[in-house]
Amino acid sequence: MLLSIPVGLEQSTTDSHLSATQSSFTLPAMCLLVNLLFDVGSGRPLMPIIHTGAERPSTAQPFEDAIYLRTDQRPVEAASLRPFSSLLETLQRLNRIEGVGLNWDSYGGEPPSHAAVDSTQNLVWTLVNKMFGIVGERAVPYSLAPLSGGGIQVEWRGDNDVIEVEINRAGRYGYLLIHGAGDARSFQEKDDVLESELVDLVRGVVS
Amino acid sequence: MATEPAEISDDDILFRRLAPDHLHPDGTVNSNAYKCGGKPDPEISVDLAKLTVESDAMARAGRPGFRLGLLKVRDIRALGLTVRHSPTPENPSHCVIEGSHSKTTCRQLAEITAAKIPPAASDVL
Repeated sequence: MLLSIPVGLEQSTTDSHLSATQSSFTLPAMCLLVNLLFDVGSGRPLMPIIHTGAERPSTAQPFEDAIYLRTDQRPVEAASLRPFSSLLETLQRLNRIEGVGLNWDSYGGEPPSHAAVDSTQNLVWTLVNKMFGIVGERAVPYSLAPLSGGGIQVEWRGDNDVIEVEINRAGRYGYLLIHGAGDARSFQEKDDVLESELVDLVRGVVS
Repeated sequence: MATEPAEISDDDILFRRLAPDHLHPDGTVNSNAYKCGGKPDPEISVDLAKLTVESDAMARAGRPGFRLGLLKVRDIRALGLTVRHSPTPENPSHCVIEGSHSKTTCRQLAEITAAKIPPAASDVL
């Protein structure tokens, strides 16, 4: 059974990576449509949704297998699904590290707290939502890892800059921003940062 | 009984255990490897290579899947940090890297760390 895609969902994205077929959908709308198992508002994973034999190209990879769909009888291009694949991997990774046990690092590290997971989820979702239409896959974090003491560390990379975001046990943010490369690079770090400030910083890195 | 503190030269190598979550997707080391309690670790535990063997350093993780981070003392000192031999009865090769108080230093330490999989790691755990 092929999915029927509703139209007119929120604003359009102008990302050139997207095929014309997808161009009228926002990221959360796409995630919903392709059954990426996220709550549209928060990005929190939902219960699995079972597909029922959608037609798909023979060259589709496993991820595309799961989310293959058609709009107006035109298939979605596999290449245009990469950002969703990255996002799915990131959120699956967040789920996984939420379950790391005590002493995960062999130095007595504690697993991420619920507050840290929630704040990370919110930040990633907010940034992907705001930036996906502009920078595509780069809106998705490069890495996401537990931080000893019950926190999480997330990293975004751009052409020249990098930002490490720390989310502590209480769900509060800090960051290390690295400008440039080689001898010319500079470092800037700060704790107790508002999400809005981080969003601006990450936007500057990946844009 | 702990051994006497050893002299540590610029040419010495240190071992740091790396959990799977201490590595970036490309295999390079994440700065979270040098943080404790969510903050830069001011006393980073490492092993002095000349007083131990890779398999022993790995075995202290107590489970498989870890890698071994290799650091040159010269590179650590170039960051303004100090290395002190701090042997314990259980681990005569134990040392601490002191002076890391910023996220920047954690990042720099990660960048000078080479991650490797000791050949015997899977055999000793």
